[in-house]
Amino acid sequence: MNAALGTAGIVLGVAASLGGVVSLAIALLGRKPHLLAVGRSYVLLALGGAVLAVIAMERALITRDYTLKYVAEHGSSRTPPLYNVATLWSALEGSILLWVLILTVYMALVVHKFRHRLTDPLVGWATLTMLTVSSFFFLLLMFPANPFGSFHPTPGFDGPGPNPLLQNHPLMAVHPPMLYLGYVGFTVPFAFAVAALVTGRVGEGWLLETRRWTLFAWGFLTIGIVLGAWWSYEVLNWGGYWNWDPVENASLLPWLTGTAFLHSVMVQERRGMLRVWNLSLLCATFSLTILGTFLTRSGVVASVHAFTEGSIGAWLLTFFGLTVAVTLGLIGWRADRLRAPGSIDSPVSREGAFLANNLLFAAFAFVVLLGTVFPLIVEALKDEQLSVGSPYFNRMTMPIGLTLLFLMAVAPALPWRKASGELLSQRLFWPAWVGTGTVVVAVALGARGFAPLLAFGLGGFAAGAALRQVVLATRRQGWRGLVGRTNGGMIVHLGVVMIAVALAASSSYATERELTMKEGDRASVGGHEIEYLGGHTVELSNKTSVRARVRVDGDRVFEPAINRFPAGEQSIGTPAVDTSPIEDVYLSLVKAPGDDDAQTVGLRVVVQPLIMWLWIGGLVMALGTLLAAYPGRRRNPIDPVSAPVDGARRHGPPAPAPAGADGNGDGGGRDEPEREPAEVGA
Amino acid sequence: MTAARRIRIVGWLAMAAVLALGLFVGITNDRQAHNEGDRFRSLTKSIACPVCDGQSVANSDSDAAKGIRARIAERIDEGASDAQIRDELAGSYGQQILLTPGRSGIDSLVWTLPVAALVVALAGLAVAFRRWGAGGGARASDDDRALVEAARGDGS
Amino acid sequence: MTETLDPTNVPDDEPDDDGPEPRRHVGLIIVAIVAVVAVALVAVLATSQPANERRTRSPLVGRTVPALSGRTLDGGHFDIDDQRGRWVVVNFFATWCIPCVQEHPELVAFDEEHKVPGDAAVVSVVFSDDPAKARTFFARQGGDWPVLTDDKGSAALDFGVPKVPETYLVTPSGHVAAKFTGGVTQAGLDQAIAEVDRALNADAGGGG
Repeated sequence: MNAALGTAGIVLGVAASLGGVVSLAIALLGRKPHLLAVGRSYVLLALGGAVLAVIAMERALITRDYTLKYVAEHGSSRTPPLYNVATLWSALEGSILLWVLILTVYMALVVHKFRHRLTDPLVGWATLTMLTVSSFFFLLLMFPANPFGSFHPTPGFDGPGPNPLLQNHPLMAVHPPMLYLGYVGFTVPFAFAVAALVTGRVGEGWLLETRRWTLFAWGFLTIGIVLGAWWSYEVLNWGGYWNWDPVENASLLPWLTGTAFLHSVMVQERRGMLRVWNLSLLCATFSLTILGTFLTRSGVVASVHAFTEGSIGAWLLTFFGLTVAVTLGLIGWRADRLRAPGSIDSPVSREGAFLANNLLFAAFAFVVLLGTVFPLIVEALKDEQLSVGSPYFNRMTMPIGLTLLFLMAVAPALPWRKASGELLSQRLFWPAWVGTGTVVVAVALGARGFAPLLAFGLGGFAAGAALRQVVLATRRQGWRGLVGRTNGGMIVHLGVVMIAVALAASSSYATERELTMKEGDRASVGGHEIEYLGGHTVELSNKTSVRARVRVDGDRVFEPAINRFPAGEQSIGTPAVDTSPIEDVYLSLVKAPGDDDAQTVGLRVVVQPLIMWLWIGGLVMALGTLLAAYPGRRRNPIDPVSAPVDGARRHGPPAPAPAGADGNGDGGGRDEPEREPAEVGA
Repeated sequence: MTAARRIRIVGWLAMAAVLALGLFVGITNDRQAHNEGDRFRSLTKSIACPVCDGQSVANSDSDAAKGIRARIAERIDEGASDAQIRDELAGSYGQQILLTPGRSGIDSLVWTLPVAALVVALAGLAVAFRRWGAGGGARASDDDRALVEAARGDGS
Repeated sequence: MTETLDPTNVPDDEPDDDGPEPRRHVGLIIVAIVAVVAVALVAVLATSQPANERRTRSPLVGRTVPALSGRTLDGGHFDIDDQRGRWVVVNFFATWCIPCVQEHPELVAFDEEHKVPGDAAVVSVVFSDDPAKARTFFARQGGDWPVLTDDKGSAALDFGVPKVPETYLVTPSGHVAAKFTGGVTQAGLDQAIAEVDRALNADAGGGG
């Protein structure tokens, strides 16, 4: 029953997607725009198919319908309800199903948003592109990743349940959907980029259309990545949150190019420049989501998060190759039309800062991609094996990160076109003092070492710059000074600063000890008193949990545990964390009480400062994204957004600068005293 | 105006002094740098756990990782250098146990390629700025301006 | 937001007198470079084997076998250096590892085949397991070759054993000839011995 329902859903999805591609192609190539409106019906049908398939799968999981192979392999009657629902995305086939559901929901939202303009070829080509992508993912569900394969359970059969790591923390219920909302969301701007290239309408129009979609996708991806780090911290039992694992890298890559795009798109809106670059960034972001999916699911790289099996790798790699080929071809074909008018007057300007930002993000992405695939390259060339791990990534990305912090501090103070030293000296004065003050306070509190102090100082500088912008904007505009792209962006910057400072502090000042303790033993780690009170065992429906009672600082009692899941014979440590805004005491069991018959426990204690600010920073980034998505100053969308061409002033009388073209961002954050006319086009 | 400017200059100089002092204290008083614990920590972080996928031995509770951690601690006690310990482990487990790729031969590409790419990109930007600076703007023809007008119109 | 997109706004782009030609070349060159890199990347990824199927080569192969000595389960002493002159199969195992249990009969068969001629010996090393369990295991499953209780795991570290079962074939001259990950078979071991013998004979024949 469930199998039939689900298969019907997938068949419907494949048929609707392919049908939509064909009809839209006929309508677009045959120049019959009135036929384009049917695209909407195909999209809604595809959505129906995806919803049907997901409902069938969830129903099967909840009712433990073991006639489905997926449920037999990943479900279990012992799994608690929350994880039972989340089992949908705990293995390969189900995760593609979730992907398809999110993709079709996005598609439906797009055709709803543009319901009055469905006959516009641009929207038509975008819909066609999205339907092509959904065809591919539906076909994955039909062939290499079919979740509705059948199974013949023996009477009394019970499945093993999802991978123990995936049923150990409630974050598993939110982290993958958030990540997918981000990943899949980039399909929308990508589709519009392709449509703009195909139709030749490469002006700024499509950008405005998709800016908010990109922003939301980026925001979800940010939340997904931060939640993933949090999940690692709370589940993986070693006290860290980021390991430069190939799968983590796969999620970071589109985030980096997406971040670069969100910045450089402002140069295009303002100055009409960098069109090829922006299109390339969107295409790269989408391609990287596919490449990331390939890396995660084909098993070519070893990773704790990877799902490995089957021929799906070949499918994804082919799709990745096709995507890159098509987008490169389109960009090459339209290169002449994408030629940017105008020029950047000075590297010390807002657009110069955005260029530098893009350069750094591109370099960051290149380092991450190269490090991830380098072992494969070397093996192919030299038949030798090597590893590239966190020491490499840390060393390579730290200078990039610090430079980005510096840029974050300076860029908001830079005017468009050209900055003078006097102006910078005025605008950067207080932010620079905040940075200096941060260094002094950090040193006074005992922080030592050049790299972390530099990170704190630059973090303070950047935070000062962001706060200055927000304060000036709210002073002028009240609550509206908090919304809009520039101001929301500054809130995002504040979140980034929190994360950067927390990263620097927690990685530079961690104290780690492994203790072997008997009942009643006490030890001191990093200024915290640890007392072992004894162990006990708890039987739960899906696991047996051996817990140690540990008192921290003579106050609260924590219970790090080792969980044994009956199915996998795998034992998974679950840490307990005494968390505070200043310092986390991370307790994890290395040896369970009662092992080896001795009454000792092996306890690892990691004390790291400021960890909590990683999660708070993530939250602030999400909040900032929301604020940035809220329309700022009510601007007529027909307002010209580009500054006059530079050449105009030589060939003719100087064109008056449009009102919105020379301020400090367009989100309404312009503060009056900064509009020195001398800075504009002089 | 000039007074305000002078005050600001003094402010910047004061800031530089405070910053220099702070950094000086923060760097020279680095009392706990490079003790045995740090060495152990950074070494274990640079050695891959051979049974886990992509984790370092510092991060893994597997038996193999515990064994390697114990061996590293033992070798540090015996006075072996970091390089020695790494070479010994690579000698028995193979190069893939080292999470830091080598700096010679093809392995060094992973270090040099990003730097080379950055240099090329910077050079490209420098060329672009020079062209823009040296009358690049003057090249804007009527076509170009039409393009901008069109783009602005399109942006509506 | 209703009339935002106007399809007719892009003018013809006749090449400017001096501008576009070189720039177009630059653009095409960049596209070509990106294409080449992308093709290379896809080729590398397409030909890479899955991580869990990739053959692990041991750097030990071809080198002198690491020192291996210690007390055996039956209270004796074993040293691999005393075994020169015959083949030695060094087997790392644990009683909790299922492939180890599965391969055990093959090792027993190999041992029985070579015990009388005395041209090959088997030695097992217990890998993170309880010696008492290992004793019961051997009592139940057969096999009476020396079993080292490597309680500190230092032999496993010297050999670079990440997980069990793992088996090394050592030549009579004390060099590591081959490494087997996962289960071994009697036939597989004999074949490996024959291959090395053949290679050695060919070398000797070619040399003399």
